[in-house]
Amino acid sequence: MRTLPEVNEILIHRTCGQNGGKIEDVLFTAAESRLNIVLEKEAELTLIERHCSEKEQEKVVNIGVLLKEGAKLHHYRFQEDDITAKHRTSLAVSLAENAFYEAITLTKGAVDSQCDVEADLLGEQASCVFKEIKLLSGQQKGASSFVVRHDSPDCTSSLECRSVLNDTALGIFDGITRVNKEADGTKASQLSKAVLLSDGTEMRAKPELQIYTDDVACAHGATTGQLDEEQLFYLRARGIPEADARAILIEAFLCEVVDKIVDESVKNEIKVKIGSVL
Amino acid sequence: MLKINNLHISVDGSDILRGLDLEIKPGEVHAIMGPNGAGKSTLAYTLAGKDGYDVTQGDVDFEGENLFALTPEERAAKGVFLAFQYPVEIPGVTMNQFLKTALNAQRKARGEEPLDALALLKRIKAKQKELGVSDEILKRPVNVGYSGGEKKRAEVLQMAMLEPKFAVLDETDSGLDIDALKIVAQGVNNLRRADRSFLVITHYQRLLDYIVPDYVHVLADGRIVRSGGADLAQTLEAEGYANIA
Repeated sequence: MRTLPEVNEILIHRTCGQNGGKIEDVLFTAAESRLNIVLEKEAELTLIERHCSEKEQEKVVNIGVLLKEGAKLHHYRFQEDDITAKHRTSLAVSLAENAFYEAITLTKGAVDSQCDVEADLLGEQASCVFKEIKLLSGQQKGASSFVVRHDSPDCTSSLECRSVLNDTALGIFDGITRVNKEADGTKASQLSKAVLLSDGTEMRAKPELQIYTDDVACAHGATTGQLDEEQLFYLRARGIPEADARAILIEAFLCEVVDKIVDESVKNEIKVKIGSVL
Repeated sequence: MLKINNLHISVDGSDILRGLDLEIKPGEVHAIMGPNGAGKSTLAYTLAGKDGYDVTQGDVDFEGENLFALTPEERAAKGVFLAFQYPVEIPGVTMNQFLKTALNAQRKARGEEPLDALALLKRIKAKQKELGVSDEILKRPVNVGYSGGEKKRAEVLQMAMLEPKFAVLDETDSGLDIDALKIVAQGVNNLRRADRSFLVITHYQRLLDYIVPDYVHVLADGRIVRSGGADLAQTLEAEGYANIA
């Protein structure tokens, strides 16, 4: 694992077709960090981005991702900064033809965190997937905004945010998917689902589609609610104590995102991190 | 085993059960029949401890304890089981995991050692074969994408695993074709024992051809209006509920 306490700039570059099995595992601790990733044609990379911080640290992170034709990046992001810290990430991704980008973010640290994502689908049949799990309690605020631009035909994008909020936590999901007029054959989806565990929590979800062409398949939705009472009763009626039943349902709700992760070790790590909070 | 005294239950302010009395002794199978809206499912949910069923009068004694002083999970650990009319779907939790978690939670509540993975697996295997529940179903999330028959068989599998003292079957026959009905009934019959009792709630006599009860009761307007032996079910089938009460 690389650690960047003083050095705050890093470049990861993979040459054409380079597909080393090695996972890049980077720990971010500096107040200001900049990460640039360039994957040349057909290169593939798995990147784990970890965050932990000092108390009350204010952290700014800039990440740029450039994926050339057919390049693939699996990007796993664990934001576990100190509960008193402030965290701001800007992530910009641009995808050429047939490129694939996947980000899976676990947001559970920082009292105030903001992640702004911009993705440009520039080449045909490029595809990007953003999934986020927000696990917030106390007075935490976790905001994420996404702007995904479809500029080429037959690209796919999906945004999915699942939030579990407790105490007086605030979750914000702002999604904009813009399908420009050159982008026929677009498939795009946005989904925000939130479970509120107490009365003081709030989820603001604003999924938005801006479509300037006709040949598209787009869907968006947002749900916010409590744990399902029928499910809870079913588990309890089989002898599972209420607190355990709640934890099972929360984990099941979040794991619908996690279960699709291909990398087994990352999948298990996220499950453990979720389990440790519940 | 179970004694229901003058039970009055109200749901959302309206009285559903109005003075129900029933005693079930160890090893007995009682059937409750009745028209829609008589309060059959209300009785089932009340015994299992669901929220929203307010006891306005009366009590239920289960093996010397006040049932209403216990949470749903405590009732389950003490041996009360409800086979749901509409089994609930739980995405993200496999039936296998659910069975293991439930069984060990009950064992823990009773102060017993948890079963290890191998012992659990053996136990599940033995029961699933008998009930025709495939491995594939056990790997799927609880009740998600199950057919009507698969859901009911899975309910009986849960009952077989958890080995309750007292089981309520709430319209376990609904939505089953005759073959599935026979399998489910056989599963229940295999669990009949001198120290285990059943309350079989059904709208039709059909199920009672296969699970032959010791007593049949007719529930109408929130109370039992007639009781008899297994032959009462035939009478009801022939004459309908209209002339009862």
